[in-house]
Amino acid sequence: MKLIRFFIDCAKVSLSGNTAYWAWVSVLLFFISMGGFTYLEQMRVGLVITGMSDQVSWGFYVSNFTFLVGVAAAAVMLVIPAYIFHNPDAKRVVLLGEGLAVAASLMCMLFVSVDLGRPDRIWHLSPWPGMFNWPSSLLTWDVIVLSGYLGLNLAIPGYILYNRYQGTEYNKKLVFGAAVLSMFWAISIHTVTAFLFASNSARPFWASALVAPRFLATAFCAGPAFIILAFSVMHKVQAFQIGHKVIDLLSVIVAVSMQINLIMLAAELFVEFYAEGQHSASARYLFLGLDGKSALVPWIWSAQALNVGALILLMIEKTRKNYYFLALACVMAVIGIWIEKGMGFVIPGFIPTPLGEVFEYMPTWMEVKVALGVYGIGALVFTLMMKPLRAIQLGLLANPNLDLVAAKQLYEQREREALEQRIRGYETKIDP
Amino acid sequence: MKFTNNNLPDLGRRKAIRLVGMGAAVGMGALASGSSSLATPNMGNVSLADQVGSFFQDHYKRMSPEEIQEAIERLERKYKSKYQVEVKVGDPKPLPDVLFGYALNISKCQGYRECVKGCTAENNQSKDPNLEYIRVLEMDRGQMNLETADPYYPSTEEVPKPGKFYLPIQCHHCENPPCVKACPVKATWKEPDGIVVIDYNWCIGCRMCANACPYWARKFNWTEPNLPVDTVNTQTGYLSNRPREKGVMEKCTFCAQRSREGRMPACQEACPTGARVFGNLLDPDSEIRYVLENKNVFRLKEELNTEPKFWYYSD
Amino acid sequence: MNRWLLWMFLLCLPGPLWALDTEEIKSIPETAKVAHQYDDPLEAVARVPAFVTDSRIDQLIYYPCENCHTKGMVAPNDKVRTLELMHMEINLDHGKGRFWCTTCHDINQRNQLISLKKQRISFDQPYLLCGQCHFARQRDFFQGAHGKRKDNWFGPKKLTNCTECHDPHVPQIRARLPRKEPDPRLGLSIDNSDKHHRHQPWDQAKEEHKDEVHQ
Ligand code: SF4
Ligand code: SF4
Repeated sequence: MKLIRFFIDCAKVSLSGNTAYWAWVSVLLFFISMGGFTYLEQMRVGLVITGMSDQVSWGFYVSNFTFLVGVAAAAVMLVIPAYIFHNPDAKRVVLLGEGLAVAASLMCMLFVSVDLGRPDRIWHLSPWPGMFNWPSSLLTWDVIVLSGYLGLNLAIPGYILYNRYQGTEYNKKLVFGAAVLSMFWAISIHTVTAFLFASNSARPFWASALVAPRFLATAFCAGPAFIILAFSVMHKVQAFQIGHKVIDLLSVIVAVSMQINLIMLAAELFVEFYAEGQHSASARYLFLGLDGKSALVPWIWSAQALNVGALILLMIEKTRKNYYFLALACVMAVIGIWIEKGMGFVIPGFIPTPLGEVFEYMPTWMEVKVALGVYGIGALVFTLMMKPLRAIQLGLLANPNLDLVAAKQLYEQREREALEQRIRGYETKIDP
Repeated sequence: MKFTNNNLPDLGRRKAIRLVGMGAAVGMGALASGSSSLATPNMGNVSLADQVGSFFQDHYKRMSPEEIQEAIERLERKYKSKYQVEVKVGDPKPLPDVLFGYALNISKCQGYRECVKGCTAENNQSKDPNLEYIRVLEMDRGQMNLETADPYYPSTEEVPKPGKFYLPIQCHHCENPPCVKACPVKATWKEPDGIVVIDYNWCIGCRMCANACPYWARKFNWTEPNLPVDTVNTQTGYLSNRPREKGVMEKCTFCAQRSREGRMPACQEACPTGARVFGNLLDPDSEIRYVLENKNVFRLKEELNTEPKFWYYSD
Repeated sequence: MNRWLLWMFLLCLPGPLWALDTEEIKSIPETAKVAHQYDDPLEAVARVPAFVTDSRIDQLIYYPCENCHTKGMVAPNDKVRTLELMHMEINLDHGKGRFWCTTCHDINQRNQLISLKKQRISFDQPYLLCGQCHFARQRDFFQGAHGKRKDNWFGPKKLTNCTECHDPHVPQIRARLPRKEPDPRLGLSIDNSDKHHRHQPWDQAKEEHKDEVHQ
C-alpha cells in the first residue's frame, strides 16, 4: 500500500513543473513521436528503410547501443566512491548517476529492439516461453547483463529513496553489497558487449583481445564526461547543487581513461600497420580508405583529433579546473568516443566483407530519426525520474507542507551538520 | 525559481495550453517522421486464427508432429492467398547414415553463373533485386586473395577471361558452424545430415549469425520478399525453400527439399561444366569421397576451424 | 664345323632380344595400371561403379550412318581431303592435325566407332573412345570427379556422356556470356568502379624494370 502511494506521489511530482519544464518535455515528445512514427514505418516495410545491407548488417542502431552501454557502465564511477568509500560529495549525486545508468541501459535495450527484423518475435529471446541459446550466444549474455544492470540501478536508488520517503534509514550493508555487485555488473555489461563483437572470428577487425579493455577505457572516459555534462546542465538550471569535488573527481577519471584509450589505440595501429596483412584491410579502410572508398576516413580522424584535444584540455590543470574548458573537453570526448566506438568500430568491422567486397554504409534519415526517438525516450525517462528524486532528497515528499526555499535551507543545514560532525570525528581521531 | 505551481489561479488555462503544446509536439514529430510512400507489402488475406496461430507458433524442434502439420497447413493457406497458387510445403526429414558434402572443381568452373540462376529458380528467393545464395568470385590467377575478388564481373563480357579463375561461394554447411553458436534463439541449427537450416518462423532477425559467418553465406530479407507468382516454385520444404517473409534470415540449404529425397541440389543440376560434385560423405563409394581421397582439395578459411563440408579442388 | 657354329650363333641371336622384351613388360610398375590399354574396350567399365548414360544414337542427325555410307551411295574413302558434299560444318580441331575421320569412325562398319586397336565401339559409349588418350580423365569420369552425375546422388547412377559437353570434333569448351551479375539490396547501389587488382609479381617486376630503362 505504502509502495503504491510512493509511486503515485513520485508520479505526481514528475508531472508538475513550470513552463520551461513542460517546454523541455514537449521537445522530447516531439523527438519521441518522430522516432515512433518512423519506427512504425520500419515495422511496416522492414529494415529496408535503413542503410544496412547484407554487406554491412549492423549500422547506426548498434553503434549507438555500443556507445550507450559505455555511458551506462560509467555510473559505477560514482557508485564506487559513494557506497564503498563513503565519499560525501559522490554520495550526493550518486543517485543521479544511477538514474543516468537506468536511462542509458533502457536506451541500449531499445536500440537492440529497433534493430530486430522481427520485433513481434522478441519474446523468443527469453528462457521461457522462448528459447535461449545461453551460454553460447553472446546476445543472450547481453540481454541478461543489461536487464540485470537495469534492475540493479532501479533497485538501489529506489530502495534508498523509498526509505528516505518513509523517513527510515536504509540498510547500509544491503546497499554496500548491492553496490559491489553493480560494480562488477557494470564491468560485465561492457565486457559482454565487447565480446559480442570480438567473438566473431569471421571479422578480424573485431576479433581482438584488446576490444574489451578498450571498451572499458572508452566507457570510463565517455561515461563520466557525459555525467559531467549532465551535472553541469542540471546545476545551471538549478535543479541540483553539484559539488565541484565530484566534477573534479570525474574529470580526472575522464583524463586517465582517455590516456589509456589512446595508448591502446596506438598499440592497435602498430599491430595493424607494421606488418599489414589481409586482416588489416578494415583498419586500412577506416583510417586510409580502401578501393577508392573512404567514407569513414574523415570521421575517424576527427574523432581522434577530438580525443587528443580533449585529453590536452584535461591534462592541463588550469583548463581542467575551468568549467567552460572542462565542458568543452567533455563535449569533445563524448563526440570523439561516440564516433570512435560507434561508426568507427561497428561499421569498419563489416568492410570489407568476408569475401573481400568493399561496400559502404551510410545511415539514412529514417534511421537517424528512430535513433533520436530512442534518445528522446531516454532523456524523458531521466527527466521524469529526476523530479521525484530531487523532491525526496529535499524532503518535499515526506512533508508536503514544506515550501521549496525552506526545504532547500533545511537540506543544506543537514548537510553542513553532517560535514561538521565528520570534521569533528577526524579531529578527535587525530588529536585525542 | 519555482518548480511546483500547484497554487496558481489560472491552472485550468495553463493545463490546456500545456496539453495543446504537447499535442502539437507529437503531431509535428509525426509529420517530421515523414512516413514515406514505400509500397505496401502484399501480405495476402490471412485469417485472424492463422495470424494468432503463427504468432504463437513454437520452435520447430519443440513442436509435435501434429503441430508441425498445423503450421504447414497455415503456411499453405497463407501462400495460397498470397500467390494464388497451391504451394506444397513438405517436411522431409534427414536420411539415416547420410552426411552431405559438396566439392567444387575450380579448374572446371568457367564463371557462367548458371548455378546462381538454378538456385534462384529453385529456392523462392526475392526477385529483382535478386537475393542470391551463391556468389561467383572472379579471381586473379596467381593468388588466392579474396580481397582482389570481383563478384560483379559484367554479364556483357565473355567468361572465362584470360588471367582469371572463378570461385563460387555459398553456405559451406560447417561441421562447427559459428552461425549456430551466435544465434540467440536457436533459430538456426545443424541437422543430423549436416545441413544447417533456419526456422524462418522462429528467427527474430537480429543478424548475429550473419556477422559470425566467415563465408558471407547468410542473406537477410530487408523487406517483404518480392516473389512474382510466375517465379514461385510450388514444391517446397518447411526448413528450406518455402517462401520467406520480411525480417528473417535465409541461406543455402543444399536444397534440403531435393537432396533429402535423393536428388541433386539445383546448383549441381544447373552447372553446365560438371564442376560440382555432391554426395554422401558416409558412403565410401560416393563420388564426393573419391574426390576428397584422390584429389588435392582445400577449404576456405580453414584456420577458423569451422570445418566446412564444402571443398574446392582442381585438376 | 665353322658353319655349325655360325648357325648356332645366328639361332641364339634373337634370344637376348626376346629376353629384353619380356623384361620390359615385367618391369611395368603396378601404378601404371591406369594407363593400361584394355584388350576389350568394355573391360575399362568392368572395374568401375556401375552407371548408365543417356542414349545418344537417337539424337544424332545422320545416324544410322550406314544409310549413306555402306548401302552403296558413297564409296569408302580414307584419303585426307577437304569435304565438299557433306559434313562441311565439321571443323576438326582435335589432336593437332593427327586425326582423320577414320581414326575414330569405323570405315567398314559405319554405325560404329573404332579404337586405335581396331575394336568397335558404340556411339552410345564415346567415353571408351576418348579414354584411349584421356585415360586420367576417363578414370575421373567413371569415379565422378569429371563429368557430372545426373538427377540423383544415390540410387542408380547416370552420368553425362563426354559428348554432352564436348563436341568431339572441337572439344575445347568455348567462352560465352555469363548470367546476370549480383544485385545490391533494394534501394542501394553498387559502385564497383574502383575495384583494385593487385599486381602480379611478374607485372610488378616488369613495371620496375620499365622505370629503370627510362632512367
Ligand atoms: S558457411 Fe556460414 S552460414 Fe553456412 S554453416 Fe558455415 S557459418 Fe553457417
Ligand atoms: S538473424 Fe535469425 S537465425 Fe540469425 S542469429 Fe538472429 S535469430 Fe538467429
